[in-house]
Amino acid sequence: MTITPPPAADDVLVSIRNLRKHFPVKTGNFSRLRSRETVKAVEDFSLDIKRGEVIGLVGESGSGKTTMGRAVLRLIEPSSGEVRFEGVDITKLSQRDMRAYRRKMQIIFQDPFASLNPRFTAEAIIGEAIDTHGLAKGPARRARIVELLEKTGLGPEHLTRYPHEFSGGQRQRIGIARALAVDPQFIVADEPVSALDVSIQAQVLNLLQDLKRELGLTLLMIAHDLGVVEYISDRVVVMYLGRIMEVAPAKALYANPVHPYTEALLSAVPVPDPDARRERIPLAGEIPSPIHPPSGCVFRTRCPLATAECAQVVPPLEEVAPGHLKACIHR
Amino acid sequence: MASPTPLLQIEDLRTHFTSDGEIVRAVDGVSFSIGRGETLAVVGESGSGKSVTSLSVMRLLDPAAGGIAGGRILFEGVDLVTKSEAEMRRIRGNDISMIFQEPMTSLNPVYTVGEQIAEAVRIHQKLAPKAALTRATEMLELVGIPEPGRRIHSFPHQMSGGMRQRVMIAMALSCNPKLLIADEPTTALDVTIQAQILDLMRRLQAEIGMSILFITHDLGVVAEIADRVVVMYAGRAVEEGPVRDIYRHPRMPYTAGLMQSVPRVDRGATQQERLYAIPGNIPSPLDLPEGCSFHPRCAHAEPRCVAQVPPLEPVSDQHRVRCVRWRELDFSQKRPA
Repeated sequence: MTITPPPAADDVLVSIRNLRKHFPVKTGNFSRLRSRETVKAVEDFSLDIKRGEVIGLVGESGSGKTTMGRAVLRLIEPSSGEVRFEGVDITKLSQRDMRAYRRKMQIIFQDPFASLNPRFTAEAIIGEAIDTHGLAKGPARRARIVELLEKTGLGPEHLTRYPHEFSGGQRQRIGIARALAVDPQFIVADEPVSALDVSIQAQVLNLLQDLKRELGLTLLMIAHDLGVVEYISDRVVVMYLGRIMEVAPAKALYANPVHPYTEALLSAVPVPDPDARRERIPLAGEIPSPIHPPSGCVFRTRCPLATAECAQVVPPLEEVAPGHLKACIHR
Repeated sequence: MASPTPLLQIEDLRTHFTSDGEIVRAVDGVSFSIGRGETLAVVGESGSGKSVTSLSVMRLLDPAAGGIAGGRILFEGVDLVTKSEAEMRRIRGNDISMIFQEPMTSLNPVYTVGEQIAEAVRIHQKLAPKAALTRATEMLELVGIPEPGRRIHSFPHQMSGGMRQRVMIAMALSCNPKLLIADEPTTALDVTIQAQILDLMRRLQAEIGMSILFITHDLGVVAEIADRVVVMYAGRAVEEGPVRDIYRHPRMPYTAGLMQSVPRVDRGATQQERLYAIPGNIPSPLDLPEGCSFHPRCAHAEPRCVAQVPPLEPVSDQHRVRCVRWRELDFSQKRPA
């Protein structure tokens, strides 16, 4: 590891402030009264992502991590808050003005079986993005597609093949090539390896690692697998029920988790070592409904440290060490 | 530990399917045994044949697609392969039970969970409906569902994934089976819920003393739950032994590679900068390589690996490996300090 000087403020590529996303609850076709209730998917999320930085966003189902990733790209509209991309608040842009930014921000999806059009060849899948943004034509377009295939570990022989002719790992490589086709500055990767076999997952993780180095990509990597996130991330954000519990440089978070939720989550990961000491911190019960999240700290209903105070106020994110923040009044 | 008479002994099991007139050897000569009270994990990636092996034991294969083409499945010394469907129906649920990955699709959405557990008890143990419902309540309590008397009236959709998997376990154990087959039972669950379910399975095994055949792709889960492990690749068992032996001293390059490609949370600063990745892709079952199926991806392959399928050879008393070069290769894992 090389030591880099602390970056200046203009090194921030994506700046997220107080982002909130509430979804209205549908009460079914037969109900006459429309419910005013909402699912509080993301609540008060703020984060600065620096150029070239890989952020790992972890949490269990219902933590809001996927909603967060889509709201940042405006693939779903945030309910409130700001997302500044190179200083411009993209949440205020019209759809037309948004198009220029769409080229700079891309997404890689989890399921390489569902996210590629089965009737398109690899060339057409990757070429579509190039055409949409009018980036290349004719031989230059073909050359660009071959270059992208090679960059992602495939080759020109794959141009004319259809998704069903590829394995899961190869499809995910096509998904990555498609995202890279428009030379994006920022990529959200939503569980990019969780549908892959272990031996293939390592290949795709190494590819992302290489691309990060080679292209200086800024990446928001959403994953439930804490091992995967540690491997690829510079910083890790832990979410629970729509809120940030802890943010820290990857090494610090794993060596020194501060928030009781992070501790419990890490202790629950099965380790491939039969002699590993397993000091598990059991979490009682399950994640509460995001329609009626607990007052104060949302984690308190499962927290071993919870006291009456925890129900009173939402704990602010406070710094415990440089760059290491936690939202807990007891730590 | 394997007792003198294993509860389940699979000998040279071959399960084949036909696809477009071609024979797919999904399971190609697999043998292993499970002792009483023992947990055996079968670990493998897609297409390894691990799930087909478990479905073969339960005789739950679709006869139109294929079936057991050879071998024996001895349960308490009796060959299940020769059993009629009627005889198998008495064995399933009674002596051998199974739980699956996705508890939502395994439960009937239009019956309450209590009715579903009671149904199993009524059929197999011939209990009266009221007694069966009492038994269902006891089972829900056993698997740690709060307010079991109220929850027996819940429908599956009213429960979370973790709760539904507890219901599946309650149903599977309601007739005191001797063998529980668990096919990726925690794969669809979050890690904190997975930890709860694994704890539950360990506790119930200690209390009830059943044997468990645990199918998974997760090497971490294997290390937590299993006594012994069988590693499968492309339809064959490639390595087998006590968990500690296999994790410390894997002999098959595939096993060693698989262990190294898992990103781990327990390595701290010693986490390598680059993950070890096994090159290439998992072979198509329609087009398996000659000889050792792993040789095209193996860094240690030699011409003799292509010449013939290596035999499963004993490394020690309980450790067996299918690799012609196992004597020369050392993948022993050093524990980080």
